[in-house]
Amino acid sequence: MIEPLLLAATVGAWIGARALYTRVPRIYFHPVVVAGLPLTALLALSPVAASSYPHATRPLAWLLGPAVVGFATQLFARREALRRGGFRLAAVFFFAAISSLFAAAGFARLLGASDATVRSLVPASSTSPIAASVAEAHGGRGTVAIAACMVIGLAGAVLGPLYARRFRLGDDAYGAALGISAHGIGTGAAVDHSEASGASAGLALVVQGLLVAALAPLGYAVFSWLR
Amino acid sequence: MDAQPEARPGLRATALTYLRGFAILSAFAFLGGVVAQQLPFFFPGPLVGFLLLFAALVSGVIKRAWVQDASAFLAKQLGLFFLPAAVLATREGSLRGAEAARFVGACVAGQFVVFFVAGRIHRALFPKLSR
Repeated sequence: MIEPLLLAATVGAWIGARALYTRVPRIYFHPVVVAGLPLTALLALSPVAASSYPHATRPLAWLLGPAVVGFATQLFARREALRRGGFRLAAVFFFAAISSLFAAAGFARLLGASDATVRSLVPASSTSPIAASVAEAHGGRGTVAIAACMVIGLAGAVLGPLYARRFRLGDDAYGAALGISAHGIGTGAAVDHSEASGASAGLALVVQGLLVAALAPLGYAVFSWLR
Repeated sequence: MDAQPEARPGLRATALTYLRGFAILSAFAFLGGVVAQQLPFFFPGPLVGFLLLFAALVSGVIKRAWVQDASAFLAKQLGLFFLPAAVLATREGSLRGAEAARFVGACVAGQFVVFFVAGRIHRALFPKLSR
């Protein structure tokens, strides 16, 4: 009985947070943050809710699949532009993906984090199912990798607009940077920003997932060598 | 002569358009999962579905208009699909105290570096798009 209520509470919190963000589009009112706070409090107060929550919200996790598939329509709409700038875009994705393998994990190593935490952070710029699978296959913890994806995604969604203004990025560059550095949550923020940045972020989200899955062994080899 | 305003589709037609779009996207997500399970290496099902739908759009098997509205709607709700994971991430028990602080610091700093690298390389290689 509690599971439909938890699902309804999650969707309700999201609708309310979206409405607030539409009226007051400030970075600290990002919908994932605003909707997440009451739900986190609910789970902290109720052990029953906490144990039921993963199963209750499975339909939302499932919808992520069709949502990712749907970005193919935006790629299709921009296929001519991609044909013209394909090699340059591939260079952006490749070097950014390489940097993503070493950035968060490198900082964690410098700050003295445990080896399991460092290994969990190597794939954390990709979307959470990929990050969890890759981390677990290389000595990291899947749950920590998913937590890292959430922190990184929120950091990108909340701080991304500030960075974009500071570095004077156009919509395409902003979308690509958010999709690469902050995966799905960042892509959601880019979709809200403009159609061009949303399309750019959607493509970046998918390509980043592929590249991280393919290049992660390189990152792990370097961190094993440095240990 | 002034052009006639375009007729807006009715509620029933709009609902059917969205339903058809969701059905097609769900079918490709499912198909992507099935294909991904047959591969000898790890490859996420939704990404396989993405590639299959792109191929179907290019070949003309699927028309963009059939899935455009549904995919735009789902893209707008992307944060909702990550919300449960974000809420559950706050309950990750293995990160406490100083380790949690190092973890969050590394994530925020790492995100900035990747954003910076991607944004600056994109801006350098596509200067016209950054004007």
